[in-house]
Amino acid sequence: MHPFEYVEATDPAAAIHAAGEGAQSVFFAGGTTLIDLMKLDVMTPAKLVDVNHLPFSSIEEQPDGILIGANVRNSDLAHHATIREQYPVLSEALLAGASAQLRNMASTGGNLLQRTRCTYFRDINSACNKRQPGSGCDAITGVNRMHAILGTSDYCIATHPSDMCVALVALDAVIHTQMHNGTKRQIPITEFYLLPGETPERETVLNRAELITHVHLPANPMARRSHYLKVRDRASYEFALASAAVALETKGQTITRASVALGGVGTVPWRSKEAEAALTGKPAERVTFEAAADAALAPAKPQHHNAFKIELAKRTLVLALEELMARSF
Amino acid sequence: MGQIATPNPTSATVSVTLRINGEERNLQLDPRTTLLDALREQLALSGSKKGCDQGQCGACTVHINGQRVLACLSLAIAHQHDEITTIEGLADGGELHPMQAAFIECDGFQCGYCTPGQIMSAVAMLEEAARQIPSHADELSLEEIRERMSGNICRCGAYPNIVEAIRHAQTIGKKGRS
Amino acid sequence: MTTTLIGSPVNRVDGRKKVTGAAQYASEFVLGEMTHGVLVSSSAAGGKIRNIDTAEAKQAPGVLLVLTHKNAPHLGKMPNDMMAGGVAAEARPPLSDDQILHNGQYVAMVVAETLEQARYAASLVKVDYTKGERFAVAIEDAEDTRYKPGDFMGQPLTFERGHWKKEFEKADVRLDATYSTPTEHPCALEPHATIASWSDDTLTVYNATQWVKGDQTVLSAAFDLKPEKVHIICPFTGGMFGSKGATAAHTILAAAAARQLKRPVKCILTRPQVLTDVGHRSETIQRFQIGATRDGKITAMRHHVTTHTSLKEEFPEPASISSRMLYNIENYATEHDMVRLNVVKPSWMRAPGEMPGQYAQESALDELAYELAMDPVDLRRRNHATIDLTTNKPFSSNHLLECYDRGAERFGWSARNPLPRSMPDGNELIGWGMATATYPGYLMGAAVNVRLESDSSGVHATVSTAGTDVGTGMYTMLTLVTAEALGLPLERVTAKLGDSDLLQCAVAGGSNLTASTAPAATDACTEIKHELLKLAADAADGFTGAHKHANEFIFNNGRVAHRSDPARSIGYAELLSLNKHPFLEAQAQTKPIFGHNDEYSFHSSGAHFVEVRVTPAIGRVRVSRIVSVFDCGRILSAKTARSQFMGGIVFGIGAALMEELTYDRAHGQPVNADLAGYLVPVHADIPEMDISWIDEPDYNFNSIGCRGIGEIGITGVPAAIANAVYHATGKRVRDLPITPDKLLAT
Repeated sequence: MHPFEYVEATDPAAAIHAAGEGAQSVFFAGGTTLIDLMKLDVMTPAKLVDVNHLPFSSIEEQPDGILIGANVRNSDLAHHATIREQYPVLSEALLAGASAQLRNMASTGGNLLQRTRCTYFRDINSACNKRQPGSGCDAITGVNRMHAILGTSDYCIATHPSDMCVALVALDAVIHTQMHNGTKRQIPITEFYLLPGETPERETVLNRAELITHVHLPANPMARRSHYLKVRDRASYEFALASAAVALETKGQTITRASVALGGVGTVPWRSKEAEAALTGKPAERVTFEAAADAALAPAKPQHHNAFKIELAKRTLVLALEELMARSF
Repeated sequence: MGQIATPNPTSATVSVTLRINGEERNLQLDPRTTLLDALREQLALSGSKKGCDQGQCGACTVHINGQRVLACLSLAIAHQHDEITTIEGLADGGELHPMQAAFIECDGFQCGYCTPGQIMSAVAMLEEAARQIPSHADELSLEEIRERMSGNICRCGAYPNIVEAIRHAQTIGKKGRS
Repeated sequence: MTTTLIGSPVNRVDGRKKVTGAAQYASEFVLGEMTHGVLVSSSAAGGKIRNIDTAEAKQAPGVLLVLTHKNAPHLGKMPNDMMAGGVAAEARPPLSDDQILHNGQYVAMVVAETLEQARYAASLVKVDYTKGERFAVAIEDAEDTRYKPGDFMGQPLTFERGHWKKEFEKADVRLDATYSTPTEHPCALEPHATIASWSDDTLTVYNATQWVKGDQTVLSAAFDLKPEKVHIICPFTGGMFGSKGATAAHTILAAAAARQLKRPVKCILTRPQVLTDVGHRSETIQRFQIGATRDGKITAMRHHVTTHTSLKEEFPEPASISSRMLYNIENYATEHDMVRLNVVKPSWMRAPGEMPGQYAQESALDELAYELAMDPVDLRRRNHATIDLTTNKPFSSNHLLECYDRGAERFGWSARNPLPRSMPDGNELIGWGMATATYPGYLMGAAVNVRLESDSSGVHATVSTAGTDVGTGMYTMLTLVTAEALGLPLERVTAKLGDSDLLQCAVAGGSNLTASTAPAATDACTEIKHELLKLAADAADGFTGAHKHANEFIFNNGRVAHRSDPARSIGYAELLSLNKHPFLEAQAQTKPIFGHNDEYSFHSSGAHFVEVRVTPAIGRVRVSRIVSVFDCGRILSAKTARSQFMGGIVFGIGAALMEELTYDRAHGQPVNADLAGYLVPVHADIPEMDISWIDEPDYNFNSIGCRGIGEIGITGVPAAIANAVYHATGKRVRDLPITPDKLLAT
C-alpha cells in the first residue's frame, strides 16, 4: 500500500475542499472496495478524505419517495422496514450481496462506486484499459467466464459487480451530489454510469471531488411488487453469474408496467427498456417472459468463456418474473 | 495484555487511540495500518485472525460499536471514536460467553483458525436478528442461520457443528432471558 | 480393561484456547525486535530475470534488507523425499538463480521494520524478464512434454494384471467414458507463515506446518546445522490438508534473512501467494473402459490417467490408487501420463489420488449401473473385493458391505426410482446418488513419551511427541488414550505436541498420526503401569508391610490396589513419593506400515448417500441431505472423529460444485487466486449430515485397532453428488465442478 495522508472531514464543504486538493485524493467511507484495492496497489491515492462523520446517515421518508443518506450502511438499508415493504427488490438485492460483515461496513454512496472484480483489473501486472488507459485488455483474450456480455467494448468487458445498483436502476433512483462552491445536482441513476467505450477508466459522470450525499428513491407503487434473483456458483458470499431485478404492475392478467434490470452481465448495472417494452401490455405468462428475456439479451455479445451467460441471464430473468408472479400481494 | 514494543518509526507515524475491549490503547501507527494489523502486530491481540486480508473469509471479524465488521478492510486510524470488541474481550473474566461454550460443546471447529471470527460473527448475528425481526430472534431457521453466517469461511468444514452451536447458544440465551 | 473414555464424545481439550483466541499460531508469537518480510512474486511464467532493480525498494522507509538471486546466501542441498525425513517444497533453493519456472515464483524478499513498510517497498522492486519465452499452463498446450512417470511411493503407476483388452472386447456391456477434475487447492484458512530467529548458532522457527521434524531436517540441511540446533515450534496449525507438509521457500528465506539481520523475521504469505506458490492438486483427465457381464460382474477395467507436474519436478496425482484395488476386477490395467507445466510443483491435497480417482470410478460405475438397469449399490456388492488384488493379500478388516447396508437404510435408498427426473418438487428436481469411499491404512511411525509425576494437586501425566494437531484433534485423542490407559481423569493428563525437541513423529498426513501415536502412547503407559506395580511391591511400609511381588497388585480406578484386597489401595502420587521417585517416564514407538504388511492389506472404506435439489431453469445444485457410514477400525474420540469425517465431506462438496483454480493461458497466472475467486463452500452450501461408523477394531493394523479418518470423508462425495445430479436431471457431468453453465448446456 502506498503512503497516504488521512483527513477526517467534519462537514461536506470541508470534505469536498480536501478532496479537491491534489489529483490523487479520494473519499473514504466503508472502505470495502478502496482498502482492498489499495492493498493490491490498484488504487494509490495520496489522500483519503474520511466522510464517515458527515451527516448523511439517515433514511428519510418523504412525500415523493425516500431519501437515503450516502453513509447509510447496506445492512441498515436492507433491513429498513419501509424499504422491505415498499421496495423489496432493493432489500433483496442488498442481502444477496457480499456478507453480513461487509454489508455492515459498505455505504450506499460507496456501493454506487464499487469497482469491478475483473481479475485483470485487480492484477497490476495485467493489461487493463480501465486501470491504465491504453495498456490493452487482457480479459478479452484471457479467462472471461465472469465477464460482461452487455455494454462491452473492444477496450473493456469488465462486469459491474454491485447487486444494490441493479435494484436502484430498476427503481429509477436519483443520485444527489454536492460539488465545489456548494453546487448540488441530481443525477438519474440511468444517466450516472458510463459505458466503457474507448474510455473505460471513466465509470460515472461524477466530476473530481464531487461528493455523493444521498440517493432518492421515487415513490413507486409498482416497487411493492418487485423481486431480485441472483444466480452464482456457490450458495452465498459470491458475485453474480447473472441476476435480475424486476417489478411489475398488472391489471387482471395483463402487465401494465414493468421494470427490468440485469446484474452480473453488464459493464454497468443494466436497465433493459427492451424487456420492459416486451412485457408491457402482454399477459403475465411464461411466453411473455421469454420474449422479454430474448429482447433483453438481444444486444448481448459473448466472449470466449461466457456465452452461457446469455442463456443463463434469460432464464434468470424468466424465473425472477415467475417467482414474482407466484407471490401473493 | 502485553504490548509489543513499537518499532523505530522510520516513516511518518501518527498517534492513534483505540478503545479495545473497554481499554484505551495509545499507539504510534503508520496511517496504512489496518485495524487487524494493529491488533495482531502492535497489541498482541492475535485472536482476530488473518485468513485472506482482503475481505473474503471473515476470520478477522470483530465488533465495532456492536456491529460485526472485517478488521482487515478497516483502517485503525478511522476507528478512534469507536468501541472495538475482539474475541479476547468476549468472555466475562473467566466465564466463557455462551457462544464460546456452545462451540466447545458442539465441536464447532477443527483447526480453530476461523473460530474467533465465527464466534464474533455468530454473537452479533443473534443480536442483529433480535433487532431486525424481534419476533423471530429466538427461532432463526437453519437456512437463515447459514445464510447469515456465510461470510465466515471454515475450510475444515465444521459448518454443521457451528450451526448446531449457534442453535445451542440461542437456546441458552432464550432461557437466560425468560 | 473397562473402556470408559475411548470412543466417547469428549470435548476438545484445546477448545477453550481456540474459542478465546488464546491458541497461538505460528505468526502470533511475540519476539522483540521483530521485522517483517514480504515476498515479491514473478509476473512472468517462464524465461529469465533479465534485470532486477532494488534501488528504490532499499531506500524506502524502514527497509532493512532486500534479498534477490544476486545476493541470497548459498544454501545446502535439502532433502526432497518423504523417506529422507523432510521435504523441501522445491529441490532448487529459493532465489538461487535467474530462471523463472512459473508465475508467482518468488524473485525477492523485502524485510522492513513494519509490515506496511515492507509491503510498500516490495511494490518498488522492479523486475525485467526476458520476453517471448514459451510456457504452458494447460495440458493441451503441453502435449509435446507427455511422459510416463516413475513409481509413486514405491508403487508403479502403469501396470496390468490379467488381460483387460481381451475381456473388454468380448464383454456383454462396455462403458468408455472420460472424466476430468480441475486443479484444486488445499487453501487452509491460516496462510503459510514463519517467524525465524537466530541466537548464536541456533535457529528457532515458529512455523505453520504439519511436520516439525520435516522442517527441522530440511532447515538443518539448508543451513548446515546439526538437527538439534534447529528448533521448530508449532503448537497449533490453522488447517493444512496436505499443504504444510513440505518446507517451503518463505520459511527458508525468513531464516536466511533473520540470520543476516540478526533479528527475527516474520513472513506471512498473502492469500494469492498461497494459491499460486503452495502446491495444488493437479488436474486429472481419466478415461475408464469397463467391461461387464449382463448380471453386473465387471470383467475388465482400464483406467488411463493424465495429470500435470511442474517443469523440473514430479508429483503424479495418483488417481488410479483406488481403482486398482477397490473392486474384485482380475483383468485390470492402468496407465499414467504426465505433462510438464509452468506451475508450482503439485503436491499432496486431502486424499491425493483417491479424490479424483473415486470421482471418476464411482461416476463410471453409476453409468454402468444404468447400462445394466441395476441398482448402483447392488452393482458394487456384486464386485465387492475381499482381497487386495494389487498385493494378493486379504484385507485386514473390511466392513464395506455393512456400510452399504446401514447407509442405504438410514437414507431410505430402497424408495428410489432409478429413472432420471422422477422426483420433481415444484421448480426443483430431486436426485439421489451414492458412491463408495476408500482410503488406505497408513501408519508412518512415531515415538511417544509419557511422564507421570505428582504436583501439589496430585498426580499428572504428560504425553508428548513431535506430531502436530492441525485441527484433527490430536491433543484430545492422545489425552484421552493416555487417561484411559493410566486410569486417570482427562484433566490429569496434558498432551504436548508441535515441538521438534519432542520425540520423533511422522508428518500429520496420510491420515496416519492417530494410528502411529495412540498405540505408542498406550504402550508407554503400560510400561509406566508396570513400574507402578513394581513400586507398590517395593514399598516396604504400611501399604505393603513387606516387599512383595508386583503381580500381587492390580489397578483399580486410577489407583494401585492389593489383588487380594482391592479396597486396600494407594494413589500414584503417594506411591511416587513413598519411593522418592519424582516421576516415572516411558517411551514407546510404532513402526511404519504403508497400506500393507506381509500378511494383510489395510484399507478403510465407507459409503455416501446423497440427495441434491436442482433448479433446472438456472442450473443451480444444492446438496440437501447426506448419509455417510465409515469403516475405519476403532474410533477413539467420537466428537473429533465425526468432525474429521464431516470436514472431508464438506471438502467433497466443494470439489463437486465449485472448486477450480484457473490459469490464464496467455500469460500463465492463476486468475482466481483468492478466496473470492477460488470458491470453497460457505455455510449456505452445507446441509446437516448423518455420519456414523461401524467401529470394528482392526487389531491386525495396530494394538489399538484404529485406522485413520482424516481423508476418507472426501473420497466418493463428488461422485455421489454427480450421480445424484444425473438422477435429478438426466444430465451426466463428467468434468468437475458441476457449475450452472454445465447443467444449462444442452
